Amino acid sequence: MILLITLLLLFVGAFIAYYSGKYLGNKAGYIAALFIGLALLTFLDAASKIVYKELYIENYLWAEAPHILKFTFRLGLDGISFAVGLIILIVTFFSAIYSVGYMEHSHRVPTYFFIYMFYTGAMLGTVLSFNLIQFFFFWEGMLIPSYYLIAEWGYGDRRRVAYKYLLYTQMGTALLIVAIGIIAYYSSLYYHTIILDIPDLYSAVSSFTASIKSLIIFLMVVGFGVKMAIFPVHGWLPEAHAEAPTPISVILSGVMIEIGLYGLIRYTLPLSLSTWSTPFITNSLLLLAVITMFYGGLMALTQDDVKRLLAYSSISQMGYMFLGVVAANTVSLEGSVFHIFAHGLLKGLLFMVAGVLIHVVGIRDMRKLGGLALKMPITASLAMIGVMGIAGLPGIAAFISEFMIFSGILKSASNYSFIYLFIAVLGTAVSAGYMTLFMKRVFFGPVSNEYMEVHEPPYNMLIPMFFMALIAVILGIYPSIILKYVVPAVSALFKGV
Amino acid sequence: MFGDILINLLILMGIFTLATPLLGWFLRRYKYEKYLGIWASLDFLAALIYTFFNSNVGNGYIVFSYTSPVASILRLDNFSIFFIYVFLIIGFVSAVHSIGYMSGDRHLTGYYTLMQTMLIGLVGLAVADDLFTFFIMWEVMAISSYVLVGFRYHLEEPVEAAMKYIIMSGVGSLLMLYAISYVYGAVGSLQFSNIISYIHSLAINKATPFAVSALPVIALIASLFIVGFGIKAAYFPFWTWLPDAHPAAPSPISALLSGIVIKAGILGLVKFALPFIIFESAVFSKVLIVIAVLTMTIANILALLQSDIKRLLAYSSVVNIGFIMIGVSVASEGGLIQGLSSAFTHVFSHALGKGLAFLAAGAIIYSMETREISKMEGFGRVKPYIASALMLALFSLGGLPPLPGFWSKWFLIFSAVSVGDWILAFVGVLNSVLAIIYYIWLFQRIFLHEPTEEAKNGRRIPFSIKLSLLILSVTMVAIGIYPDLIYIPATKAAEALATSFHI
Repeated sequence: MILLITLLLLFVGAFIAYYSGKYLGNKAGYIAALFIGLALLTFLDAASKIVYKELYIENYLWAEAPHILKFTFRLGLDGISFAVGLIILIVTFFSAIYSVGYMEHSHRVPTYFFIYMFYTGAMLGTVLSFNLIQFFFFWEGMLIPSYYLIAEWGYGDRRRVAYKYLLYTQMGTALLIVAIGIIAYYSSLYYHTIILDIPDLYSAVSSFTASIKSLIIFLMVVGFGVKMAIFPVHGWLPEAHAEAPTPISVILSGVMIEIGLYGLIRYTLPLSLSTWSTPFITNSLLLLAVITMFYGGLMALTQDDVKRLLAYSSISQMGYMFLGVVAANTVSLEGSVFHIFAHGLLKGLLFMVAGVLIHVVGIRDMRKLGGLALKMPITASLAMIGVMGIAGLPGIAAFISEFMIFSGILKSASNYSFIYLFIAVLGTAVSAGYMTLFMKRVFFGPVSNEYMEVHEPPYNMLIPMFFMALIAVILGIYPSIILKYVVPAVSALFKGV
Repeated sequence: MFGDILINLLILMGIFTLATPLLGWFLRRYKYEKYLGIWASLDFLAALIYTFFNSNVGNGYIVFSYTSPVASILRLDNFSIFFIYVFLIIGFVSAVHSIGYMSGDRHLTGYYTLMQTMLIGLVGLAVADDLFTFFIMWEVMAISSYVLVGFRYHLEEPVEAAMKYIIMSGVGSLLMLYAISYVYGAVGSLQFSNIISYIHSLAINKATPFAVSALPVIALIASLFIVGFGIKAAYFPFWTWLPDAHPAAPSPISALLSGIVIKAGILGLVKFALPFIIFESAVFSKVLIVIAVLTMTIANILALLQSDIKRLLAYSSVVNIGFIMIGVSVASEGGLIQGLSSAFTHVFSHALGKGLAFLAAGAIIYSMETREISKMEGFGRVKPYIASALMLALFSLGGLPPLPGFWSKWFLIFSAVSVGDWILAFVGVLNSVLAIIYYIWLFQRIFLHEPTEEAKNGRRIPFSIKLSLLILSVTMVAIGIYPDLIYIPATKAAEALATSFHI
């Protein structure tokens, strides 16, 4: 019941935030944050159920048409979904508070928070779904809210960008639905009933022939890859993340693209592990991951727009996480899941810094910025934490996860894992490069006269940033808070196959 | 014989319909003719409630049988109950919508009488168990719909569209009649059960010379039926009347036509043509696949080019008929129950979605008195709830959750995969993405642009229109969250039909 309550809190909160927004204006963000906070509490309470056992599952009656279709509404929690669900709730919670300040001069704020809450609910729904069709249901459910948030409150050529985002993603989902159809069909062929529930799905799919499994892998990697913005299908991300309203960029980059990765971890890897770890597939996917990593990093180096830089950096970071999943062993996978958490916090923090620049200074072109550290020291220090984190310095959460991913590469099925490890570690240098360049061009150097009046952002924007940074540092020092849930779940994932 | 459920239903609707002209004559004297819509909606609501409380029909039974000289049989099973539901729900909301939408028109007595006759025809189609009754009901439905398309006869466009519709649909009826005469010649009877047992006897004796000589007849009947029903159902290449006729009719009638009247073609196809098609499935299932693929793809591409909102929706209806044809072709290829139940699920979800889309577009047209999408820009900012209803419908048609279209499209793709039809599944998925392109394009125009002057100064929308939109929107969201509401009736209907095929 507790997971259902968590989900319902978000959807009910959407309506309450909307109607309160008619009276409170942009302060409705606090109502939204209140409901996300309540959901966070119930979610943490649910986490106590997986301390002693690996899996906690709730089943509800959903569709039971006789003989043909049978789905249960199945909410589940294990360490992986706990980590991803927690970062979704944390980021959306802080981003909602941040929105209060950020959206203060914006139009139609009640609708904004209404859709914001739906978006949050759909994202949490994807993560908690332990049934493939239900996962897809929520997966499609996040699409329209995110599209609308970009198209309505974004910047620049926002409608075209949002349209592009939607069409890209929709092509990806088209492949996913075919993959689901294949799984449903073959499971009903072999077992006389459609099996889409986890964990039954794992054992069911593992008995398919290798060619079907390869087809499923192909469809799912491309399908999820569009959302994750893996190299050849990344075209929508730089524009969408740069032109979205900043609190939404925080969510897009911080958690939404990672849900694609979560889908890969939950639905592709365990289904087809033996096929996945053949050298051919591992090598080609490793290559894709490394290209994504370098492509994003090098493109980020050349950007002048703050948000575009961060968007390309997200592509690059997604390369790391994908690398961990491709390597397909316990250490690297734990690293990937933990990197979802760390990247959500750090990239969220950095996008919030970019939002401060837009909100307070009004300029996001780095050629015109500089020396702001003197005028806004707290923001600059928080940005520094984010920069160090993405650059992979020890003491901040992303270091741990990157280290785990790198140590996992060696155990992958590829014959060239040493080479990939070498290249991947080089990639970190690129990350450090563009991040320090960002820091230098925005915050350091002489401050020009135009910015003499610049001051710190209001507290409702500063406090969320502070807490995001704080959590990232705490996890960098003591990662076991999250890893103690992730580790048993990952090994259970591998054991179950 | 009398006193039975179905007879009561038809008598109930008949009495309501017969009383309509009298009541209209009376109301017109006091200038209250527009409230006749309440009477029509009461008719459909009463019929709907009556059906709801008597919908437990078990394995089905014959409720009326008159066999000499020409058989006339009415049979009630889950299949007919399913279609009666679909027809009456859309009929009811369209009638409610008409109260406000048609309030400025003349001759409303004729309008509501024809609307009710059309619904009687449709309900009759759902229960007819022999081709004779079926043909009569078909013509009752068709003739009413011709007049309703050309209802605003003082304008040029509706009359032209109605003419085109009459000619094409008339040819369709003719071919159907031709096919029926061949059926009578081959079977010696028009009863559904006799047709089925005839086909089974052929299947057993397929090797004997006599049966072989009968085979061309089967092929002829099947092709005539495919064309005849196809003109009404408006699949490739017989859909040319639809994009003219559906936009030209008043919006509630467009909702009825696109929502349920074209489904009557599907109903006829699956009930009377499918046995023949299955018998010759080697050829005809390929034909159906080709029809499905071409219908979807061509209509989708044409829909991309439209600037008139109702024409766009009309082309989208053709696309969705293509989707339903996926299910029908799967049924003809051996996945009978799966194919039929997925087709029926989509029949239901498309009826709801397209009904709502036309009604909401009608609300916009009522407010702004234009059908040009370019003039509707920003309407969603002025009247967000009306525009949201339109978007709900379009997202459902585009197959986005949590709406019924998602569940039905998923089911269609699954059933296509389940008979090994990969191409069909992929084409279906691609077309559903293609459809999203113009739905979202419409969304952008209506919601994201700054409102035009016309949109700002639009007329107030009457309560009855809002009520009809609300009813359908709530139904759709409820089904989207709890899909069993359509899965169970649709699968039951498919099973009932499959049982009556004795396969």
